[in-house]
Amino acid sequence: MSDPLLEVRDLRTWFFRRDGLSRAVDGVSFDVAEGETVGIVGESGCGKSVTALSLLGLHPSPPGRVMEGSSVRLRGEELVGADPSRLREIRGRDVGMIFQEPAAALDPVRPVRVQVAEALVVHGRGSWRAALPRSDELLAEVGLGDVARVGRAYPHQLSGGMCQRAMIAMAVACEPALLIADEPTTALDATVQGQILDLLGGLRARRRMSMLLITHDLGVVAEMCDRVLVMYAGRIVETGTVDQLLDDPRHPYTVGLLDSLPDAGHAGGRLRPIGGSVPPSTAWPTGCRFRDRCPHAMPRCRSEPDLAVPGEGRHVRCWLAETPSGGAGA
Amino acid sequence: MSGTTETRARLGGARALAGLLLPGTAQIVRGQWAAGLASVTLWVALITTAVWRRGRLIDAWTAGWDQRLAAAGLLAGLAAVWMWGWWSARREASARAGTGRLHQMARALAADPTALAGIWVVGAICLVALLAPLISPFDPNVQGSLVAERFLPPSRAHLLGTDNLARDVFSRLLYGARVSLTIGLLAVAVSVTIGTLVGAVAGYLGGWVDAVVMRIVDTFLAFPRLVLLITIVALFDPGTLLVVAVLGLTLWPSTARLVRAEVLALRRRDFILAAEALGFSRRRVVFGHLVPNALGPIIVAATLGIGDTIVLEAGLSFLGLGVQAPTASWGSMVDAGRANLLGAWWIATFPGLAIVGTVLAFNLVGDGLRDALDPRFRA
Amino acid sequence: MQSLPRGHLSRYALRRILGAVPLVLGISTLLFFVVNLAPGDPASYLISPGMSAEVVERIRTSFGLDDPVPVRYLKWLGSVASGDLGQSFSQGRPVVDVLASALPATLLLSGVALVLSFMIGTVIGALQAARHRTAVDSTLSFFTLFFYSMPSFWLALMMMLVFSYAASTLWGWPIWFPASGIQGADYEALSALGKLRDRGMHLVLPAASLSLVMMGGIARFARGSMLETIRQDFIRTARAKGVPERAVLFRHALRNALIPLVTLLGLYLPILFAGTIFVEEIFAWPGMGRTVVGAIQARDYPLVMGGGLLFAALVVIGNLVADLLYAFVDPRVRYD
Repeated sequence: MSDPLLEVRDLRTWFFRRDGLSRAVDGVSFDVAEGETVGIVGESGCGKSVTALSLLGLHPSPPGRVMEGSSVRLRGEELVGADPSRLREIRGRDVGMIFQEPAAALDPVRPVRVQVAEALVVHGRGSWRAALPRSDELLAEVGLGDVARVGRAYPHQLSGGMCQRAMIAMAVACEPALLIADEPTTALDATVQGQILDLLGGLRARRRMSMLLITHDLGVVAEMCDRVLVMYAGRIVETGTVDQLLDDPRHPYTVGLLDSLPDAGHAGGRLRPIGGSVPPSTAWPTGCRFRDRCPHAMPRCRSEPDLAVPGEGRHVRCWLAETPSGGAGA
Repeated sequence: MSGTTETRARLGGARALAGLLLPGTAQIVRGQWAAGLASVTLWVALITTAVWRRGRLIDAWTAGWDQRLAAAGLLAGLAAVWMWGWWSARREASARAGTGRLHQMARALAADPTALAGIWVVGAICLVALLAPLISPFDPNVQGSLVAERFLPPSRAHLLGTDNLARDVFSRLLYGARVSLTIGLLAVAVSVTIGTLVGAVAGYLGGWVDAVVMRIVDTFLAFPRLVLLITIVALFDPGTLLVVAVLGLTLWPSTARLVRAEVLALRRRDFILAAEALGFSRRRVVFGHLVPNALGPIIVAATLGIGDTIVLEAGLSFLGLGVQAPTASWGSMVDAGRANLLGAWWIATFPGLAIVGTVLAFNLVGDGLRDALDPRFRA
Repeated sequence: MQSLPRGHLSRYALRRILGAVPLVLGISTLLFFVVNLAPGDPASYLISPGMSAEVVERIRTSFGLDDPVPVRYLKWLGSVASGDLGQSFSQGRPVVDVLASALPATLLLSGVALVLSFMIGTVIGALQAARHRTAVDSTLSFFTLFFYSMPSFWLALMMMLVFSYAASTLWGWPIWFPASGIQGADYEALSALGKLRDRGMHLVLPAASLSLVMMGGIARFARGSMLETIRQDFIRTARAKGVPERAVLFRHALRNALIPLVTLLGLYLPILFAGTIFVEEIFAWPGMGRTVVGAIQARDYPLVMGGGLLFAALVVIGNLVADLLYAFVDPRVRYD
């Protein structure tokens, strides 16, 4: 296998806040291969978005800081501690990003086509004069058909779905190798969600992009991803291919996530939400961080298991994962 | 076991004794720095004044009301600090952790060094204003020899020099604090009361009441307040009471607008809807629920309003439309320094610095309160 | 979704102008009742001892003091509407003429001060926001709060003391500024360039006193507005697409942070004119503020009221301009 496009090793993004130290991302490692789509799932407050933002140094700072020893490599180039101007070159050119609230993510006082064109101009893909027609083409490519009208419109004149399409046009303007999508469909209507996912899927295929898809929606994961990382409390608790994870979840947290889906067929058809909620990031539990909410908690869980390796490309951070019947079921 | 209890009892006794001699030490020992230091400082300041000016303190009772008020204030202050120290030292520290929004505001304020500095300065100015008759070296209104004592530069005898009528600038500055603070506080109290009533009623009732009231408010706000003030004051006979009334009656529209906005925002919240659904009377909903919940922004606006009002009062006095001669006011003192600005710069300079310092302190407290309410923009 | 042809703007403007009419009416009413609520017969205030019987009679009729209050009120509104503000006692001219001759000087001074204070204030506020939680931020915070807390009349006097009197006589600085008036005594004899320089030198101290005090408040507001803007999602978007930090701040953040500042423009006019009154009085600037203060000292009530009305009208006009400007800078404003 060739080197992965993105290599993240022991990423720790901590927030030094007034009310205490928040270890929002606390030792996360994963790879994204060329052309691969990787999903990160978990509840709100698990550190998914912070993970995505801190890859390119976009986390709020201060108070946030990527800690010593973290490593993010893009095509082998270290990005943690990289020169700010180098990071700026990579943002938008090698790595595109789209966000959860498309309407808020666009500058309210500039026409959409200007904002798309800006992405081209700042990376030296031509002057404003050349970039504006190109931005109209990009808007057409993402399905904003009536470009002359839409392109000159301001964000407040567009629906949420149209804003997200414009964001996507902006993110892929410079043909990035990796697209990071942070909850791209969460704020949208159900019907629009599907359209946006189709659009992303089509773009990914045409441009051979890799994708890092952050979502709390396992349905989206099932539709889009090759591999999945399950995050809980700033840590990855389980990784595997989509099929492995959906058919044979090993970590009790993954099981819980699947059981709380309305159509979770494999577990007897009844909705079983996970009890309790994600603890505040300033006070992660010691030992296994899922211990307090876990139906299988045992004395051993007071120390935290490593990411155990039960099979090929498959990792589970649970003591139970070592036994084959694992955390599945009851 | 019994040993520790005994030690603790003895320690408690020692603390109580220290508290009696120097109220506040017990709080400092316990770690309540802000309250303890304030108490010790106030105690020392009052005692020092009492001992240093003991002659005047005794004579005060046969002198005018100014002196009597200051002397009574000093004694009452001493008694209050002492009783507070004693009472507070006996309570458990943990018994005083409030959870309300105002308590939270107070706690955030105590953690903000610039706001604390503002509170200390405001406190010091209040103290000076109260004790002015006892501590001022000269009578502020008695003129010295116009030949020998006019325009004297700052010296040991006259700390800040003398003015065009040979009066001691430092003494007048101390007395001027009384005018600024009294007028500032009273006028803001009047305007906040009116503004809160009007704003809450307009916001709650809505409809034509709201429309009419907001038209009036807009009219007031569009009118340059100073022009309105000088027009009114010039038509009537200038005087302290008039200045308070006029300042109070022209500041309320901005408070009314603020309170109305708060009430409109709160109205849609569930707890107000719940109160209405329970059939509470309108008055109870407005003054029992809406106003208390809007109290934070009102306090912030009032604190910042005190600074504005002090500046306005000084401006009126500067134009000769405020407090009338010979009563010392910072604004009229600056005016007195205009005629000989270069030759006797101290006459205009120091009262102006006093205004800046006082207003700055109130604004620091106001900023601190605002940040405590909404901590996003913390410096 | 609809496109926004700029033609709507003029209709919007017209509606805003019509909306200001009740405001002007309200202000006239306020002025009328202030004068008529004053204790005693208004005539006793309007008549000064040295006045001839003929003048007294003219004043009485011009104010219609024998009419009942509602009639007088309507007459007052009528005369204001027709631009007749009565006769100034102290200057023996119609109030309108007196104000018309004083208006240009005031507009010059307050215009320069307004532009300066908004420019400097915005730059300082933006700089503070960009350097949030650093020594630069807190130093500038104290600096702006210091000027914000300062009475304009005292700052004007201190400016005069240091940069005019002391600079010229005590310290012998090469540059010092004139302490009074709008132009020097030898103004007419100067060349065109000399005239401009003379005017400029006379403008420095009054304009600096006025704008420094306002700058404090504006910078404080600009800082807050900028911090609020920087927290928003679209700033993160701009960074995510690789826009350089400087352009993020100026092209995206500042442009958006300026929108609420336009509203502040309307709110600051009363403060500006209050400052103008003091600064003109101190620097003997022949504008409306000085005229009004002189009128108060001379108990020239028609002139006081006329000046008050004109100041209020300027504020209303300023607010209108701010409203229209707002619609212009913020595409989200809908003209209906």
